[in-house]
Amino acid sequence: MSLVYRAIDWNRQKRVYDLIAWGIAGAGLATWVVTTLVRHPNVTAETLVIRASAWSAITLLHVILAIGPLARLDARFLPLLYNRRHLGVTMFVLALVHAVVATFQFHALGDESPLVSLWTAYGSDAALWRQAVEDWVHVPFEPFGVVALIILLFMAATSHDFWLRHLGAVFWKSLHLCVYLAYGLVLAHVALGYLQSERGIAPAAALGAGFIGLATLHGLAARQERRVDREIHALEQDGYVPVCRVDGVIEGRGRVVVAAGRRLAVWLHHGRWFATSNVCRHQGGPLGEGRIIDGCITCPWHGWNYQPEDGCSPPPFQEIIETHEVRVEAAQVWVRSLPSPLRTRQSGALADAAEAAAGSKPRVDDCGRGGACPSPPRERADS
Amino acid sequence: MNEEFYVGYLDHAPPAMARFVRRWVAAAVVVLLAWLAVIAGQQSPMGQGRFEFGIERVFEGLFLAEPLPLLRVAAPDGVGTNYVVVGLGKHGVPDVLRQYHGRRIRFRGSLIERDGTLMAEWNVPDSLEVLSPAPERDSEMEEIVMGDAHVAGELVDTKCFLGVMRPATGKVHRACAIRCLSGGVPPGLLVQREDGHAVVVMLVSGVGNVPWNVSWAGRQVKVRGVLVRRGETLILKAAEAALLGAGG
Repeated sequence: MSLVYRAIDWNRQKRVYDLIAWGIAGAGLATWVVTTLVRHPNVTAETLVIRASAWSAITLLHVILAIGPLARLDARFLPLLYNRRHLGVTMFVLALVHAVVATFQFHALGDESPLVSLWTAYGSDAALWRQAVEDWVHVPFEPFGVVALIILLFMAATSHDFWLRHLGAVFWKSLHLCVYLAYGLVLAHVALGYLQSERGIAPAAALGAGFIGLATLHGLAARQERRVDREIHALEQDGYVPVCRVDGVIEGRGRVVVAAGRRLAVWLHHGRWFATSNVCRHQGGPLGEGRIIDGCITCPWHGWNYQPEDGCSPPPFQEIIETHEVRVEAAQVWVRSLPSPLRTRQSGALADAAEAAAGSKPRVDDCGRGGACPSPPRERADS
Repeated sequence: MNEEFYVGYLDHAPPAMARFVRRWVAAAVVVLLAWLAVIAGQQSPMGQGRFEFGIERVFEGLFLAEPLPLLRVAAPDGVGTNYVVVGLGKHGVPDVLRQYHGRRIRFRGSLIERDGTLMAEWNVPDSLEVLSPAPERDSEMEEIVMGDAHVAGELVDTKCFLGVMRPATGKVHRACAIRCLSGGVPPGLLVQREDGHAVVVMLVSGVGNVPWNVSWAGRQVKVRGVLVRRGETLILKAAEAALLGAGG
């Protein structure tokens, strides 16, 4: 028996995703251009490019920021999350077009370098700060856009998994969370610039609605996450914590649980119980929301694989996640709160059919709500 | 419990999940394109004017460097027309041209025009020809004093305002206006008339030092000075200028 590994190139789903993303970006640009030409036929080509690219990029940025919480709230949005970085790069290209044309248009061909003029056109630094205190509407808007673009540049440049591997998942994810800082800077850029020059209420209303919508989605997703975290059981004995009932997970599936304040994933695989870290090594995806496919835990975000027995990715991949010892007793799954040493091969806890059927026993899920709690395990169910 | 599970590196998404995503994406596209159309449709007027970018014309006439660089072009019927002269990009008329004050010159450049106010961009430097060996006088270009004036309006750079950029006012254009004024493009005061129309008055310094700051471009300014006319061109010779509003 042999295994053949094939590099994941632009498969059908990626191609469809990219075509739709570029189609939407193109439709956004076309909508802006056509509407503007109909309403303002005297507009210059430069103004068309600057504004069409800017508003298409802002719109795409809202979409990008909405995908994360949407996928948390409903897993059916996960296909949008899988190639989200492609949307990010598309949005960066639009923002770059806006920045280059605007910088040339407003700052080039003058008596100062355009890159210097971007920062100094309005006056000296001290004067700018005084102005900000006295009358914020006259604060220069350009620097906010420049800093946002630099952030987006770093994000686009490091979007490939090559950089994820070399920078490390934690740093990479932290860098890419800066998209929220970039979003705030973009809002300031538009509020201090475009909105100061326009009389219509639509752009301000649209940005406000976008902000409220994103804040609501993130709030709902956070509330859902907190609900998981609240299932904390203070029953740790002998280093084991009850996390769920045996009927809480079906074969081939995982479940996110909380043990000693940490999120773990418990799995039922070929009739045995396993527990692993819930954090995917790739981008921190919630492994417990994944499935076991071809004997491997499969992350719901980008499909990274780990073996439930030892937490290792199948060869030739080398990623490893932590595993935990598991016991099953009184139809209850108990997980050792401390992880085993990396690469420890777990045999898995075999669920006792009689215990699994004992539905009348107290449920751990009732703990803290007046229900009686089960006794801690006396011996390892998997030994 | 949803039985479908999405794996991105497989060629096909689960059917029900794909249907769900297609519907949401279609709805989102409609909403987002409508959002863009409404914002684009609500843009403020871009302004009038035109800039014959890439089109060269020959400009020939009597050149006055002060107080405002003007080229008096004679028409066949004898009635002259003034063209404000500027340089390439965000620059006013170069010094090499200023030395020909009062001389008849010819050069190639591009036309900028708005509401009958004309401007010539000298963008072919080697096209300059000096046609008269000594300064000449044109009675139509003699300065006529109209009287003292107090005028308030937005400080604009006249090159952009007359047609190079549309729009050429307000905060988004402010840095460009600053660069233009700093580069020597003649400033103007955009005055809102009572009939709703806006006119631009050419602004020059009527005292030794310029009484305004180029960083005031794009903001409301009040100016006291003397209004004069050279040909059909109105010029405000400013004695005092100050920012209007808070933070000034």
